[in-house]
Amino acid sequence: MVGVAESWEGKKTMGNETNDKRVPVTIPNAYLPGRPAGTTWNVHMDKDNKIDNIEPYRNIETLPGKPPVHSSVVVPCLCHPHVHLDKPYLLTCNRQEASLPQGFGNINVGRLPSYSDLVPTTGSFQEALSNTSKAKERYQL
Amino acid sequence: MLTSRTSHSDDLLLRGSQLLATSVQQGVTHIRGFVEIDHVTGDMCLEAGVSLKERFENLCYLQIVAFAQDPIFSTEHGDENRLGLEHALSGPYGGQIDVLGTTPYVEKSYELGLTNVDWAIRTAIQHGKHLDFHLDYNVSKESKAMVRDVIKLLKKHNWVETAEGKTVVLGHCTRMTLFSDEEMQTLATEIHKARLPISFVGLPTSDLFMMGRPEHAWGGSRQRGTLQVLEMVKKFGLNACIGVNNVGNAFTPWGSGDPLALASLGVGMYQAGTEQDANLLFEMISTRARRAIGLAQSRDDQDVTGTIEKGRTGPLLVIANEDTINCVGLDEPVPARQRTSIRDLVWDTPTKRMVVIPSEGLGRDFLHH
Repeated sequence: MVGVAESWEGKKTMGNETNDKRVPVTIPNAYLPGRPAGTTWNVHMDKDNKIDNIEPYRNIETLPGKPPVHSSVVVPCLCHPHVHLDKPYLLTCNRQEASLPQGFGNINVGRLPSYSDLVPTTGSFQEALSNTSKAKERYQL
Repeated sequence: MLTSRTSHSDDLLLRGSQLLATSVQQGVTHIRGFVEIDHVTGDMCLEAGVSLKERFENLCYLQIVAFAQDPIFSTEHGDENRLGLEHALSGPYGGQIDVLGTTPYVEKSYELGLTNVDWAIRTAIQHGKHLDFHLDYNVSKESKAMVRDVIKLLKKHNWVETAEGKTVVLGHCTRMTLFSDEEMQTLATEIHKARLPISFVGLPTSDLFMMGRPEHAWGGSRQRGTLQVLEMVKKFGLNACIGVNNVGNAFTPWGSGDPLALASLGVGMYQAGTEQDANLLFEMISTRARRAIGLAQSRDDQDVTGTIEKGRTGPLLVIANEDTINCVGLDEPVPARQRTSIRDLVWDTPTKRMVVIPSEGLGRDFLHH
């Protein structure tokens, strides 16, 4: 049951040798949950996302006259256990009178469906069900 | 495939990409995403989901739920909707579907709701998928809660043995907020005795907005309801977590989709002000949420605390402190407060976040600090 996610978390093969973007990372001066208050650590991760060492923080790269490295809080990443992929942003939809900002590639804004008539008028559960059903009829890939 | 389409407008792909990109910026790396399959959408949302999964595969792990928001046993379209799901599961994208999800409460009667549940359990087992129900979405004593019948059916179909490590998630379940302590204890005991891998997901931004609303009620008589997830963990030993559900639609017109904002809201909403509460709220948007969707190391894995130890594999979220608050118009910058613990993140959510994934070169900047 964990196969896919585990392999995602600890990816080992990324392209060919010359195209290898993998890089070991050291997160310096990190506050870690569960460790004594006020202590910070250097967290070393290998190229495959595994923590291979944690040691008390020393300012590894500080030269005389250089400010210390900013501290940070290091925690597990977040998870959406339940989010609807197909019906976000129906109320703040992308088809506007003004065009989208630059950087949206070849998107033809004028061809995007408009959902702006489906803004809640009562805000009720029944209205949400029926308006979202109506929106669904306009979905496009 | 999508690349061969000439007429696509990027509607689903654009909105989906906006959601995923925003989530990644907020520090999310694991996502269970629902895509609807029915007589209106066909496989369109599923195709978009698969495409989004590929597009974001370097940044997040996306689990796809083939989801029936509509009835599959009532109304004139019920049969067509159900067949659509069955076709999707055995079709070319079947292997990309991780979870089967349905909405028993939209069926026309309690009995048909149970038929929906029974079909979903059998179908999930048959195809080797996780299971996820939108369940008991009301706060009315007049509506019978379905949760105990769901457990009965899971036992009847021997879920623990036949579904091999797949988990079951029960979402919303606002009706359970009307349960007495005794009823909750009975429910928890049933789940524990059967060793069922059930987790509850509270969806408070939607639940608070949608639930209750008695006519003419105001002030103290205005009822709202969302699962008491903290108590479910602390008092009843169940696994529970929280999710954003919807962003920017009629079910949830408000909110930024940020899980950390959700945890922060939880401090006030669940009236949970201790440091332990803050830690637990953080688990509910990270480790417990991952466990709910079947990503725990094993069924008996109790490590939901999310401690960062040697040997751990997976991306990390780094919240960097800043030296100063720079404010245009001030001669001297103001020294910034330093966050040092999870409670600091939950009580006062930081906006700047960084996901470190060495296998993707993400975090490279630290080398040149």
